[in-house]
Amino acid sequence: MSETRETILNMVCEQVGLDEEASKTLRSRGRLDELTAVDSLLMVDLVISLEERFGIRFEPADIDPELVGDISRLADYVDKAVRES
Amino acid sequence: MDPVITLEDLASGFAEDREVVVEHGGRRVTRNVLEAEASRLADKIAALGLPPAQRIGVLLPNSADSVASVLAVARSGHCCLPLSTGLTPDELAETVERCKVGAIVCRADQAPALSAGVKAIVVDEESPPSPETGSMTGQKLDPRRAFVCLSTSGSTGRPKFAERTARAVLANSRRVAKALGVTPADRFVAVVPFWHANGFSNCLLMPLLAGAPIVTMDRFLPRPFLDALVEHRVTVVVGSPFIYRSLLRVLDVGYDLSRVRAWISSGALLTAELDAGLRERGIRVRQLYGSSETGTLCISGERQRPPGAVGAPLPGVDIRLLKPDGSPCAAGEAGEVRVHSDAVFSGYVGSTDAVFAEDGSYKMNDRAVFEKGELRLLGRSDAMINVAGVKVDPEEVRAVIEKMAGVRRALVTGVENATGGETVKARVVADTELSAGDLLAHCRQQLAEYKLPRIIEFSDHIPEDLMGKSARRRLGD
Repeated sequence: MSETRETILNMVCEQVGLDEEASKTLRSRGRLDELTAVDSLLMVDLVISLEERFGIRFEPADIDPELVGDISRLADYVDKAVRES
Repeated sequence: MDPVITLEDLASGFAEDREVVVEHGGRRVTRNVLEAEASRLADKIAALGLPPAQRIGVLLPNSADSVASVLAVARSGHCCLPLSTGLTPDELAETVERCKVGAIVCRADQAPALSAGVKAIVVDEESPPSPETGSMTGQKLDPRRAFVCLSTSGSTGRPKFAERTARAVLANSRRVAKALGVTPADRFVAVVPFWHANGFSNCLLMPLLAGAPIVTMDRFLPRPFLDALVEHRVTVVVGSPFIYRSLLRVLDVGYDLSRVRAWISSGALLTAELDAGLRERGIRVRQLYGSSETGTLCISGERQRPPGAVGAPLPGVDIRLLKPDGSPCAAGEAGEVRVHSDAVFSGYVGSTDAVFAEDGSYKMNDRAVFEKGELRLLGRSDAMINVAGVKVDPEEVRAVIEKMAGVRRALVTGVENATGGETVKARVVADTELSAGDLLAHCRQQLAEYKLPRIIEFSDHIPEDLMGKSARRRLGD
């Protein structure tokens, strides 16, 4: 598992307030949208946290539930943004 | 006696070639163009041959099109029903049926989602200019006519629709504009959606009446929002605690916000911690208090205030505090908020329930106390969940969950989240093996995204004593 993915998983579990079992499911399946509502509020919160943590900027057009709900896609996006920053 | 209100009053502060709406990253629309667009849409509405005073849905994100649509509905003598673009097809169909919606103004890609039989008025569809097209000059607006119908959370598991007359909404917007000292030199940013009472009244109608241009944004993201404030020289910001909390997290020295002269928050109370954080950055937010049913009742000043303080009632608003037995509270005594005002709604669509007390006052479901003439809110007396300023009825969410095959029982509550707001939490007892994903997939079919549970817990049982309203609050403690 990549370091970025692990960091994102820890951030998401804490921010969403997932219990132990849900956190385990998120780690194995990587789908946040199967565990909680990925609404516009959660997206804004997570994007701000990821920008702060990784020193990157999300393109507004890229921010959607499909990206934020899929931890692997999110980790790839963050890695790419870090490389390009 | 009501003053004569003409439709041109709605945009009377604008010279013909002056910008009325600026879409951030999009079009700039002058009064001439806006009026032409409103006239074109009004012609389309007229061509449907609907009986007078129908409810016309406006299913559009904040944009020049949505402003033109509201004007078009007013011009055509109907009542505007602003609709969230996040409604599911089921929610939309139920709204259409309950409100007897005559037609819906929408974009071409939204039209197929409308239920069969609903007439669509497509804003981005070419249509030949009508000989009727012209300015709104001189057309009178009947002050007693229903002007807008706003969706609000019910307490019975279904949303309610509060209808307000032209007199009520115009009185409210003029009152708030006066309290804030709004002039044509102001520029508003409209990111609070127009389907929300705060967005409709304070981001659309108030600037239109005051002749102040509106900068529209169809979604909130903190950095683009700050960019818009700077780029468009915004002077009045209408937001919510969620918006302000997000802004505080990204605010750095790169943004020159010195042109903003009024920061307004509505939908929920700012926490003392958030207020203090904003003050450290030079942002002094004024708290607005009101509802879809009443319009704005109070606006606090900029000075630091105790938690819950929302300022004195605006001129023309009469607020009384009552004890549980209905008798008036003594000075300094806490009680339930009752309101008299010419801006209060006329009633809920399709409901015969008595919503006004014998003395004609409206009950706010809030407890408060007057301190030195200013109202301080102490808490709500119902179980509504406040999700970033939008009320969610836990009974509506519970009913949807319990309709799912395999679910025996559910309990839905609001819990405080890490950012100081509330989150929808569901505790579910299932007879078969269900996952949170299954449950969410079911809910997504029937509930708009802001109503979906953020926290889902499966449990063996729900104690009977937790099923009461007050206990629902305890679950989240």
